Formats: sequence, C-alpha cells, structure tokens
Amino acid sequence: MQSSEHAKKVVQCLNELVPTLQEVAENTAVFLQEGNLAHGYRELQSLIEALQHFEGGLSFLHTAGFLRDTRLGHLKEKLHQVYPSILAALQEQDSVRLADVLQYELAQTLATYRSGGDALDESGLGIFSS
Amino acid sequence: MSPVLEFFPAKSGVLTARAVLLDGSSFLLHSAYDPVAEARRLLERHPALKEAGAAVFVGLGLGYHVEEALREMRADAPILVVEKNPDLITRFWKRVSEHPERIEITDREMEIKTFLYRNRDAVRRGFVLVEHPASVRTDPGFYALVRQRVRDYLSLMLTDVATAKVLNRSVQENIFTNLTTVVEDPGIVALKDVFQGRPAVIVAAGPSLNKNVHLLAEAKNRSVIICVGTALKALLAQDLRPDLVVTLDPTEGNYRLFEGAAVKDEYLCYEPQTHYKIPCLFRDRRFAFNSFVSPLSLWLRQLYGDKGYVEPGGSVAIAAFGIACQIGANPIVFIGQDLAYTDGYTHARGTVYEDRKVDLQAANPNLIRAPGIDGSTVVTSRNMHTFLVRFEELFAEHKDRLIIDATEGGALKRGTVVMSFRDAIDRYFTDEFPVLPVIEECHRTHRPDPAVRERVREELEKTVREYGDFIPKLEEILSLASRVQELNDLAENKKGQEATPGFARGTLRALKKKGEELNELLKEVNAQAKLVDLLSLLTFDVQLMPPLAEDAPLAEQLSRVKQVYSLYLEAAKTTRRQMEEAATALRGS
Repeated sequence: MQSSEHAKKVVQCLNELVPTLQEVAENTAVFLQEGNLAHGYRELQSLIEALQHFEGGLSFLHTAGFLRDTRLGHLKEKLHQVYPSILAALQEQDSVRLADVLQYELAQTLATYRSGGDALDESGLGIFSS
Repeated sequence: MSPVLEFFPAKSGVLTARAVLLDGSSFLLHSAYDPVAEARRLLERHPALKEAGAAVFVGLGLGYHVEEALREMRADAPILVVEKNPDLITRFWKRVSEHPERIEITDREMEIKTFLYRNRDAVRRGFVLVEHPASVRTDPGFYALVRQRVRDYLSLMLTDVATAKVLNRSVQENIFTNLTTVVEDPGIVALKDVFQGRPAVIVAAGPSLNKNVHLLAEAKNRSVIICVGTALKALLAQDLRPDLVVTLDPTEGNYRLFEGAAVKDEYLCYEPQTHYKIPCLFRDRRFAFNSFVSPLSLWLRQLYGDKGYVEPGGSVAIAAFGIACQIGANPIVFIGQDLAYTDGYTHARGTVYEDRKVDLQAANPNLIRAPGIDGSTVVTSRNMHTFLVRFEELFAEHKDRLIIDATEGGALKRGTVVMSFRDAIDRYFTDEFPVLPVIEECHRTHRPDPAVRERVREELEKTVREYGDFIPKLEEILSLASRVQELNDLAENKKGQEATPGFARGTLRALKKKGEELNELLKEVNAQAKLVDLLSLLTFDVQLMPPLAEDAPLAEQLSRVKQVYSLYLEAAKTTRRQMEEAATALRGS
C-alpha cells in the first residue's frame, strides 16, 4: 500500500512536470528557429535536465511495475522514440532538425499525452481511483 | 566549394532542402515539417522589420523568410539578399510573385555597399539585418565576411553623405600622417591572451559613470582598465588611470577628447585613421590595430603587416570589447555603458559632452524606447540601439566569457549579468596582478623589424612614380573628352554652322578617331587597378553616381567621363603628395 501511495505521488509530480517540459521544448524550438542559437542551447540544457528528472520518475514506476499498459507507460515509449532523433540532431549540429524534433515530435507527444482523456487525473495510470 | 543541395517536400507540402557538405555531413536548410511557419518564427526575432526602411538578408535558402518579409515590410522598403548559390537564386525568382522589383540578390561585396548608399535615406529610416542561420552554415567564412561588411558600410553610412565625403578626406590624411607611427608600433596582436582569465573593466562615457567611477581606484592592478577616448578626461580629472585607451575616430571632435589630457603611463590602442594629433600624445606607448576596410588601408596593411583586427562596430566601446576579448580577459565588466539617455544626459561628468541633454519628451523620430536594466523603460537613440543589438550579438558569440553590466543604469543588455560595480569588484577583482609591466614587456618585445619601415618607404616611392605617369593620362582623358564633345557638337551642328558634306564627313572621321583614342585611354587607365583603387576614399562621389543607361546619348556619357576623371585627377594629385610626404617621414625617422 505504501508503495502505491508513493507511486501516486510520483505520478502526480510527473503529471505536473509534463506542461513544463512541453513549454520548454516549444521555447527551445522557437529560439532555434529564430536563429538565437545561444539562448536555444541554453534552454535545451534546462530541457535535458528536466527530462532526466522525468525519466528518473518513470524508471521508478517501471521498476515497481506500475507502468505496464498505462498512458504514462505509452508516453515513456514515445519519448524513447524521440530521444535518438534529438541526439542525432545534436551530433550533426543541425539546429533546424533539432527545432523540428523538439516542436513537432517531443512537444507534440507531450501535448497529446496532456489532452488524452482524464489526462490530469492524479494517477495518469488509470488504476487508482481518486 | 558549395554544398550539394537535396530538395524534398516538407510535411506541409512546400519544398525544403538538405545541404550535404564535402565531408559527408548534412543538415537541413529549412524545417522538414513547416518551412513557412519556421520563416515566420525567424522574422519574429526582428520586430523592427515592419517599420524598417530597408533590410539586408544574409542567406536566401528557399526564400520563405524573404517572401514573408516582403508581406510584412513597408511597400517602399527595398531588400538586398546576399546569396552565392545560383540554384537557390533561380528557384526563388521562379517562385516569387509579389513585388520582385523590391528585391536585389547578389554575392558581391561592392553591391552591398552600393545598395546601402543608394538607399541611404531608406536605411536611415531604419535598417534590419536578418541572417538565415542554416544558409550561413553552408559557407561560414563567406557569410561572416558579408556580415562584417554590412556592419562596416552601415556604420560609415550612418553619417551624413556630405560628412562622409569630408570624413574620407580626413581618413586618408590621417592614414598617411600616422603611417610612420603605425609602421613602428606593435600591433594589438602583441597583447593576445596575455591577461587570460583576468578581469577587465571597460569604461564607457555614459551618464551612469557618475555613480561608480570613483570605485575604479580599487580596480587598479586588480583588472585591466580599458577606457574609451570619451571617458579619458573624466577619469584623469579624478586621478584615475586606465591601462589602455581606445580610439579610432578620424575627426577633430575626437582629438578634442584628448587635447590637454595629462596622459602619463597609459597605452593608446588606435586605428590608423585616428585623428593624427592623438597618437603623439602618448609618446611611443601605443599599439595599433586595424578596423576599417578600404583599398588604401588593405594595401598598406599588406606592406607593414597585420596589426590585429578589431571590429569597429560604429562605437568605440565595441572596439574596446574586442580588445578585452583579445587580451583574454574574463570576466569583462562594463561601466558607463548606458546606451540610453539616463536622466536626459548624453554623457558623464568630466567628459567634453557633460552638459549635453536630450529632451526625452520631444516627438523626435530618432528617439526610441527600450527595456532598462531594472525592468523600466529607457529612452535611447536609433544609433545607440544599433550598438546595443550588436553588443548582444557579440555577447552571444562569446559565451565562454562572463560579461557583467555594472553600469547601474541604462538599457538592458541581453547576455550580461547585471550587478553593481561594488559587487563586481568584491566578487571578481580579488587578486592583485601587474598590468602595466606586462603591457610594457609585450610592447618592448613586439616592436616591428626596421626592415618593415624600409619596405613601406620603397613601395610608397615606387607608387609615387607610378602616379607620376598616371596623372598625365588622366589629364589627357579630360582633354580628349572635351575634344570629342566639341566634335560631337559640330557633328550635330549645334553651333548652326553651314555643314558641307566634306565638312560633315571630316568631322565624323575626326569624331570617330578621337572617340577611339579616348576609349583606348580609358581602358588603359582603368586597367591600372591598383592606382584607381587606392583613390577610392577620395572618389567617394563616383560610387554614389547612379549608373548610366546603356543607350545614354554621347553627350551624357562624355559629361560623366569628365565628372569622374576630374575627381580621379584631383584625388591622384592629393594621394601622390601624401605618399611623398609619408615616404619622406619614413626616411627621416
């Protein structure tokens, strides 16, 4: 039970983080598209740190078995499909591609998660009643 | 070599492209999703475009941002695009349907200058430079040069054309009068990275200097103190001694900033076109640097060697920042850098302009509002705002430095950390270190070889002899042009003479013969590119003349020849005299 309570809290934190991640991803894309690369890469650093934090929460839930067949679990899979594109764009130093990935893949994925059903029920897992 | 471009449809349906470099790496030229939305985003960074009088776009790509700009900008605003890929240019011209007559596309540097000068009234109403970052990446060296040239020509052009003509005369006079000094002084390159990781203070002359200049005494020997010429007297009046003083302006007004200043151990960093009375005030405590581009300055630079480039940027504080970066300083702290009319004043106390005020309430189209350091709004001028924009670009390019705005007033400068000068000193000026002894040592060990002076003198004397042969040819051109004009008038019977067929035939033959002689002489003179190019500062008017139509009447062409070559003749005589004097000075030193 205790671990369920803890998982609930983690889910709540992750759900609260999603809008921030989306906003930072969009802002970073905007900076890059404007040609303001200095600010863009600084925002990207913040985004990566936030994503690492997010992934930490997802890892905990995954290890504890709370992610299978849940919306958060699907979000995790989608994010893991986006990360290689971000890495490739960084390695190629392709700021245009990076902006595309951040705006149309990462931010879009997060927006879809937010808008999907009871996106903001605290669990986001669909297995806890409020 | 240009990268290979691969075109493909974006997800939105319009065309996009990928650039493939020689090393196999590639990058997108435009968004693979929505290039038009991306173009709009790029322009959002330039809100001044809407009201701008003119714009230069560095890099075309597929031109989506240029098309968007055409819709956003004023209907009478001309646009110059600098692009070197002919395929992109062809695709753009095929696609653009609205107002193509407002757009010029070039890859030639001289056409940038011609565009700016020809549209100088529009440029003065407001000018925006827009870079397409992905295009710049296809040839960073070329586009960096383009960017630099736009800025250099713009800062020249911001002065009135009439002033520019007078200025060019002063510039050339100063270049030659300062030549002995420039040849014998070390360049700013001698100071490269000698203060790596040490703090520097750049002292500008804005009104907020009043608040914290007194703290400079604590910064002595804990930082390299670099002051702009305008602030020098304000410092010396309080017995505050900078280490380096920066100047580059050719005018008498600039000399007044130094006249009577009790200079002692300070070192001057100066551009060859600086007013000629300034360098000698510092005895031999000087470093030269090169900022301005003209055929004359480039030619001389090849003779005496590279002194080190410092961006002029239109403001001596920008040059001071460049020097702070070159010496390796970090952090770099600004004081007195308001870039705004704080309390209505233009400058600090103790400067030559201490009493100058601006009416902040006046309906003056030159005044604009900008964010202040404390969230308020400040009043600045269009000129100062141009410098602010350039500063912010420079700060973004120097992410490896901590740049502190300790002005304690004025406009907000993105890319700086704002703090009081007191805090900056307490946090960063913690170690004492020798400054002047290091500068002195660099100066002593980097003096040019005496052979350089000989080389410059010999080349000047050789060129004087070449002008000796050149000038009679210019005189001959003018004489021939007058003769051809007379014959043309006769042939057209302008004087109402009775023209017998024999007379008419004879006149036409003479006209043809003299016309051919004139053409040959014009070709011969124009082929002497070096001698013509070296006159460019004094033949500025020629560049402002609108091009003649190809089918212009002979009388109009001859009138143009006489206008142009009169200018060249006067310029050649002046230049030859100045070269002779400079060569004599080099012989005697």
